[in-house]
Amino acid sequence: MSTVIRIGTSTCGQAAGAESVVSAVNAYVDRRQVPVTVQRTGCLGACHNEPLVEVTDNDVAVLYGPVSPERVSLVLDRHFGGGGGRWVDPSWILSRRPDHDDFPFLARQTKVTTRLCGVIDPMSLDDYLANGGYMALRDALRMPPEKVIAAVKDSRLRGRGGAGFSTGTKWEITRRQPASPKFLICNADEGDPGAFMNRTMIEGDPHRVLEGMLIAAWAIGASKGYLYVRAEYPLAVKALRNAIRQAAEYGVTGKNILGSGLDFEFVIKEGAGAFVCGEETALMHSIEGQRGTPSMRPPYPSVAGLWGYPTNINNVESFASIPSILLHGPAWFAALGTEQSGGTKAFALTGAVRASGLVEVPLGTPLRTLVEEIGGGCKSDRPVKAVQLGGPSGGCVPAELLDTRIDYEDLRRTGAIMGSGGMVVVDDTTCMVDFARYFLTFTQDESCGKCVPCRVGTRKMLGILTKICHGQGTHQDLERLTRLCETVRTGSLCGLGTTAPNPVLTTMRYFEREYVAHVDAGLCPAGICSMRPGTSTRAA
Amino acid sequence: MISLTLDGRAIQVQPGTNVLQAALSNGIHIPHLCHHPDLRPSGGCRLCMVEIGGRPNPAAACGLLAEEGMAVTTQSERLTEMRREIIDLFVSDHPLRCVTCDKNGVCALQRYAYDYGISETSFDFELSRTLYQDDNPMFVRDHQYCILCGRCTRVCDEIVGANAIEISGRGFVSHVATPFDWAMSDSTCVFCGNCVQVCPVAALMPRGRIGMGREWELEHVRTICGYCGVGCGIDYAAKDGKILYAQGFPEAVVNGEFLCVKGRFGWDFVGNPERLTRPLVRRDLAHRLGLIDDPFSLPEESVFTSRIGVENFVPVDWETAVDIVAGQLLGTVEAHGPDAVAGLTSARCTNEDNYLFQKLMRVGIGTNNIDHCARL
Amino acid sequence: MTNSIREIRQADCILITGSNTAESHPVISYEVIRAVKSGANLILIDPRRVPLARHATHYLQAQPGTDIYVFLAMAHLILREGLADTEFLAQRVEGFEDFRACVAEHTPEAAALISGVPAEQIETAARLYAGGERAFGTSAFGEGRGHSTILYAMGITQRSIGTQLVQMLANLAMLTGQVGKPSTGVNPLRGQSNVQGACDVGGLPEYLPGYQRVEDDVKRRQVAQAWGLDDLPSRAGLTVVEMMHAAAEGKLKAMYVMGENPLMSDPDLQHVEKALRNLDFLVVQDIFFNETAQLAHVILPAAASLEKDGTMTNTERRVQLLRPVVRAPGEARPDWSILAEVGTRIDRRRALEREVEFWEFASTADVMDEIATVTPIYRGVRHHRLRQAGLTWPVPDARHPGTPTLHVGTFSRGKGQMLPVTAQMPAEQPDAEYPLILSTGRTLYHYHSGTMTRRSEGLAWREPRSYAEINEADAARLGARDGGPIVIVSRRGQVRTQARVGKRVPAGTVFLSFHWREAPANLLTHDFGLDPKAKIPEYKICAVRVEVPKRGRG
Repeated sequence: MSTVIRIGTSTCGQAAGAESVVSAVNAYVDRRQVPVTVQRTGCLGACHNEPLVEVTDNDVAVLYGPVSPERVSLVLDRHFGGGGGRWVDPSWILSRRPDHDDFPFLARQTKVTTRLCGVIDPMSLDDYLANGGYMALRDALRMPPEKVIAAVKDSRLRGRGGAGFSTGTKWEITRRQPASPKFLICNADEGDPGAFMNRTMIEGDPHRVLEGMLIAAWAIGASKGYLYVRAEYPLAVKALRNAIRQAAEYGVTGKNILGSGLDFEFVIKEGAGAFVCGEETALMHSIEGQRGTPSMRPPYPSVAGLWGYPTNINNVESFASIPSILLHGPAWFAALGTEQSGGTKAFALTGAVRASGLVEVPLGTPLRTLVEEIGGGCKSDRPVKAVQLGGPSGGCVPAELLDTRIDYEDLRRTGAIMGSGGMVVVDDTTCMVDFARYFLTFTQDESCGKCVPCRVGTRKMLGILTKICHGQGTHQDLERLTRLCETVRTGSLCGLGTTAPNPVLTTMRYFEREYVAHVDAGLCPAGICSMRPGTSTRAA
Repeated sequence: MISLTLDGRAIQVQPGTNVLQAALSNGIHIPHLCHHPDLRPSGGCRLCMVEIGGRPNPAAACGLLAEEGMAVTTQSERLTEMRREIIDLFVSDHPLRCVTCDKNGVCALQRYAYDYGISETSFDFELSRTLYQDDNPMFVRDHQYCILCGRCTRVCDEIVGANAIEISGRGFVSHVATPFDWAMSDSTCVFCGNCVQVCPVAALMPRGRIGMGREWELEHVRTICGYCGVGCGIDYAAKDGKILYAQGFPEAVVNGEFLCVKGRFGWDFVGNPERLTRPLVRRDLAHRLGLIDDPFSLPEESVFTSRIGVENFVPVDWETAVDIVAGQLLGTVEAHGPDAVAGLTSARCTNEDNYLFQKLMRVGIGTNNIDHCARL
Repeated sequence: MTNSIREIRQADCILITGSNTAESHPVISYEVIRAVKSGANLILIDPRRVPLARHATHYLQAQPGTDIYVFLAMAHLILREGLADTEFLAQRVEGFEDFRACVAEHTPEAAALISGVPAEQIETAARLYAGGERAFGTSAFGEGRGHSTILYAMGITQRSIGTQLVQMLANLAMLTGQVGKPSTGVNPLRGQSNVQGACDVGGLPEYLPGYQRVEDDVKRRQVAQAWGLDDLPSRAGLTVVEMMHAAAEGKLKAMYVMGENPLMSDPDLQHVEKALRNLDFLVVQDIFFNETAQLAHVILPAAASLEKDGTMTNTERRVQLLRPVVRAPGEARPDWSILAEVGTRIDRRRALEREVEFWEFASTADVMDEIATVTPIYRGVRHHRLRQAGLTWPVPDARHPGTPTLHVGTFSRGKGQMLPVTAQMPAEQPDAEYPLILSTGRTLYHYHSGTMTRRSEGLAWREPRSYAEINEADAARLGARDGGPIVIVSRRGQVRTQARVGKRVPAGTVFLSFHWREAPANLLTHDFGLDPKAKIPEYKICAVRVEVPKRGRG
């Protein structure tokens, strides 16, 4: 077997300079005339070590990172000789085993949806096919749609957009609607600050998402699928366009797919960057060419969605989970997770942790495993203070609850939510009032303005939090804030509003002392807030 | 039919009815600002939240389909608290200048603020929209009063199909706008004023109404529009014998609350100083009849190139005028027979007018030479 | 209208032709928009891309005067594909075989050649109309065939073949059974507030109140008796256009014009002016000193509709009550009381002694009581019954609830009459000298001769002056620029106006509204292409040329 050099060139890799690394590798290969295959891949997830270069030689894979262009010849000389024994810093070598199980960041993960991310060339259909691609679709098309739905239900796959509704049940409801045509939507409008699960999956393994959608189309009887992707994800869009073209050539889109009688086409719709368009009804309005604001449910999209037709909306990760369920069986998938939820969940692990990046773990994994083992604890060597899950819609889990299992219900009990996979770890230098205020700034900015609790309520919440951060808060303000949180939570029209108070509610619940210190003593325990009106309270 | 209970009262509604409609049609008032019976539910104002037995969280009644066996509570301490809080939020962004506001007395927000005892906001008052757009003679857009209920944008889209306005921007600073905030006349607006009609507050007001009187001083008369053949019912609000504005009304059997530009804004010709107010006789005839001394002859140039003015006529009293008309018509009949006389009756006059006109021609004159512009 | 306005919102398929609904009947266009927004198909057949075209699911731009071919081809396709309602035809219609024969040669392909509408579009329109097909959503009627309705206006009737066109639309409706049910029918949209009522109560030369023919001895004598007379004139009178000809020829000597402005609204105004000047006596009864009044001998000031009570009957046959909102200015009086005065005066001069009530009524309600006695379709109409929602005629007795939908179960005349129609091109065709077709009509902001609307601040602000729509291709060829002056010339006269260059009218066509005394469209129109039956002038089509005046001249 020949030698393969893989370079992660996803958005994260490119941001770290992967393109220059590719050039440097190509130049090296040209110069040295070594018999190797140079392959661009997606992201392996270890974003903190980008750019990543993996050299596989006779079943031995060595993963290097970060590899700057200057380091390229040093690294490659290790494999191809020459260079006069120049020294490669051992810290650059992240792993030396084919499965990277000697690299804790990867070793503690269970990769299902991201299995091929960073492994295959996302622009190559052959790579995908060589790794079992479209096998699941072939299996599915031989099954009656009802059996496909039954398999998905048995797998206990739940919506990875965060709400956790049973995917199989959702499909079943959509299938049962008498109206036609039916539509599929893949929600890739990833708007949470710091979240990049969808991006990584699409950039690293686009065909998996398409395959998942095709299986769904068969199960539901849908004829058209929209991929709603943020316009800020140009590489993802490019990868999808390429994959759709390849899929058409391969015969898995268009008329009578693989002789099954299924007709299906993909349409890419680029979102204009409004956070609220990740909300399914707003997203549908956006596809319809209207202003992207949410509308009331019911009717749910499954009953009356796009242009009034039954529409099944799933998140990228949900669709990406489907092929494995068909290939390995629902029981296998279900067994990965907990009693209520099967499979794995990907997280964008960021913040104070040592190793940040995209990680995928079985449901039921304790938070601590992610933060301490995979993430390697805080890079400041200070104690973890809290983990914010689910971005601005999510909540804060304090360090003492790190043994909470990652599961929809367990997380909800803490006041946080599963969310779509954003996970921000903070150490004890963070002021939790200011932290909550940061998220409120975001939601307040991103409120669509349709309903008054969200439009005005979040504005007033932010006002009160700012007052507190400026040392001008009172106990009355805290009470007012609590009441307002309740109004916004129960009164808002869509998920953006109803979840907006979560960061405040959870920080008030677990870090009440800090709020009280701001109000009573005019003091910010973490020393972050300026405690002076008219000044910025955060460095960042 | 679907059976449900509202505050313990058993009621029945058609399938597809939402809980708000069910309540309103059964005399139970649930507060609402964005709901309008002719528009699709929006759910933006959140005032119509109700509690449903067996569900932890309240839901907006306008978006909630009535279901068999549903037990709905429309009034409770929790709901009252929520509604107070929501009104409080509304008025934190809406000037409470009710004393000088022309909507005083018919403002929906004022009504609920009164019902829930909110005299001022408990939050920091902060106005998000301050635009005052007075760019046309028909209506004024005063954004400080706007509560973003979206009724205007929905009526423009769902009923009129003009799509002249949409909510622009996001969140707190969003506002109702024409594309790029152009003047109304540069948009696709057709000036039907149905947005003004459905505005629950003083954000959209008929221009002629502003500063002209408090609502309870106005006299309202409902009649039928005099323009096209649709026959819309219109409610005219007048003060001291002068019309201030026109509006549709829900009970109008043809048009409901909706009107077109001519019906809503095209009534001011009635008070035009050029109205005919006295019978007139042309000077040549007046001279011939001995009413005036100076002779006169009608200029020969076409009326389209040289206007023949009203000064060529002399005013007379009704007695004289009617006598001349009867005399001249009868004279023609006597000289040339009844079919030498013809009459044009009017598609803009009442049935009673038209009936008497044809009776006059058929009986008084003795001819069937009667027609009108039905063909034109 | 065979059906009521509110039924439109539930229609599954709406066919609009010869109607600029959004501008001439905006409130009816709201019904159409509602239907379309909830999934109805909207087929619009019109040479002019009227505003509703934006909402049409299918817009068929037929060349002016060729719509008859499109309708015939639709019927052809319906028959060819077996989409006709055979049960309806068998049970409720007569004359089908003759009609079938007349459409045989009118294939969609042939119609496409003449009308410029692609054959596939004609076929699709025919299928959608026949089946009452929706674009989306579910029908309110839950039947195999959805409900289709036809709306039309003066674009159909102001034509030399207007009667044929109306018959053709009725044929389409009967062919497919789209009549006599909710949200179906053939629905003319009438242009004036009481044009329906004026016709109903006998404001026509051939009809007594309630469409009783003057030639019908029995009915005429019944009416005469109700008025305490032996008989009434039995020969049909003159229509508007005939009156003007008679006046010009000196046969007609005196005219009484109430609330009309023929010197703006009649065709060929130069001729009308000549005719009116030729009268010995002209009395004009109006609210403003309009163009016709300038030639009057006596002018009587009338109250406006906002100043009086009485009833008006709208386009869906609904008799509704008016209420005075303000007082009439000066000595202006309601028309009915002026007429009563004139009638009394005539009797007095003739030394006729009649009961006082013959002309003098205490109120309009009393007038309506008399209308009810002589007008069978109004027999049950009384003012006190109209307070809520009015009544839709026929109202045969005092307890009858009215008839919103006509022809349910059976047609008024028993069986529906299908008649063969003959396609024919307009009376005046463009030629080398007058190469363009002029079409006239209304704009949104003005009404008829502009007497009222041009005196309304808002309306006059929005549309202050006359303009003509001209296609950009023609404009480029003629050198006319948007907003620049043009002169439109016909064989009858010429008007100068402002060009509005665009795509609203197809190439070869000019549109001019008739509200403007500075640019009276009817100086250009002709009165020789009257529909033989309805005597309606062909306002919608006449031949003109457009000239661009040289700078500093014209």
